[in-house]
Parts: sequence; structure tokens; C-alpha cells
Amino acid sequence: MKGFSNQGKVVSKKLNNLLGSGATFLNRGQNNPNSSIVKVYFGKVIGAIWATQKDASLVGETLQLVQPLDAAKKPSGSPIAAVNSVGAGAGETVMFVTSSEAAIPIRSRKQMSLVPTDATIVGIVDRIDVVVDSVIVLK
Amino acid sequence: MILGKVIGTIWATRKDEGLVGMKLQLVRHIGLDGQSKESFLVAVDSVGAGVGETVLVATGSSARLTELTKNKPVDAVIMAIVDKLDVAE
Repeated sequence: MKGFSNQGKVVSKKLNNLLGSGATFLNRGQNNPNSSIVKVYFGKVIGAIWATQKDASLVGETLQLVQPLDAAKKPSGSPIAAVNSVGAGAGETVMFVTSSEAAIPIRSRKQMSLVPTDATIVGIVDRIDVVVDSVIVLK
Repeated sequence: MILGKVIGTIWATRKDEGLVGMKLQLVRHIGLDGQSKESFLVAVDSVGAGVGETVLVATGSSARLTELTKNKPVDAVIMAIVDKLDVAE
């Protein structure tokens, strides 16, 4: 999450300890030149998924439906299913990681090497500070 | 993960050695209302999903993070069967 230009800072009291505090973020969108870089995305929890039969490593984990958001908290792209590793509820704004890195939070917590998830919620967002023309805007 | 519906099974006798013994399912993308979308993908089934069931598909390198697909040439795996979907809005 380092090495590319920041669009703002995220304040979250409930953040997976793997990330540290004050994570930076980028928009999730097709026009993003850094789209191949692993990033933390914003999203809103819009629902829950019940699945009894699932991979053994995911037993006990909750699955949520997440609508990805841009920095202005507008919906961006199609909803996805994500493993909820921080106990986020419906309506909450969250941060999530995608790709194989999504397995890291569960892998480290459960001491399991194989966790088939490509999206995991890693933080509940309390506040977003967006930089607009060098002025920090609180949202 | 992507929400999808299993719409068929793929049979392939000649395939990569790593895929022997795996069940390949045809999965159509669906929206939150359960309506099918135009796009589809082929995914390895690691949970025993049947035709007509709503499933979750993990894609990319995460698809290799199951006991069945570990180090195999797989980029999409069915890793959960959806019983119920609660959509808040």
C-alpha cells in the first residue's frame, strides 16, 4: 500500500492489525493506472451470504456482499462477495483487500496455509479525509 | 468472490495432468436479484456443487488456495454453495 500517490487517508478504529493505521487508498476503477497493484478498496456492506457447504478453511467465517465505492462514496462497479474478518455489519463502510492477499488475514489467524478467498474485509471505516486542492476535506 | 449459478458440466478427457480428477463446471454470473448475466466462466468444483445451485467462485491465484487445486493450473474455483442471500437495500 505504499509507493503510489495518495488520494487521502482513512481513519478506522477497527482495522485488521496487518495493515497498521492510517492506510492510504485509491479508487477502484478501470481508469486507474495502478490497477495491477494490490490495493485496499472501499466498499459498503449491502448484505450477507449464507453458505453451509464451503471450503473447510472458511468454516466459522462470515461472508458479506460488498458494493465497491469510490473516494466520494459513490458505488463503483458490481457488488462482490467478501470474507468478513472484522465483524462488519450491513450498511457499514469498510475497507477490503482483493487478490490472493485476501487470504492473509485468515491464514495468519487460523494458522492455515490454504484459504480460497479473493476478497476480505480488513477494516471498518470511521472517517475519510480526502485531499482536494491541497485542503483536507473531512467526510 | 463472484456470485454465479452452475449451468452445466464440462467433460474433457484430454487435459493438463494437474486437472485429472477435477470436476469442471460452467458457471454463469448472476446479479443480486438472481437474474443471470451474459458472461460465464469455467470453474473447478471443490465443494460438490450441482447444476442449478448458486455458488461463490474465487478467481485468480486465490483459486489455487484449496487442497484440491493447490499448485494446479486453475484460475477459478467454486468454494462455497450459497443457501441464502440477505440484501439490505
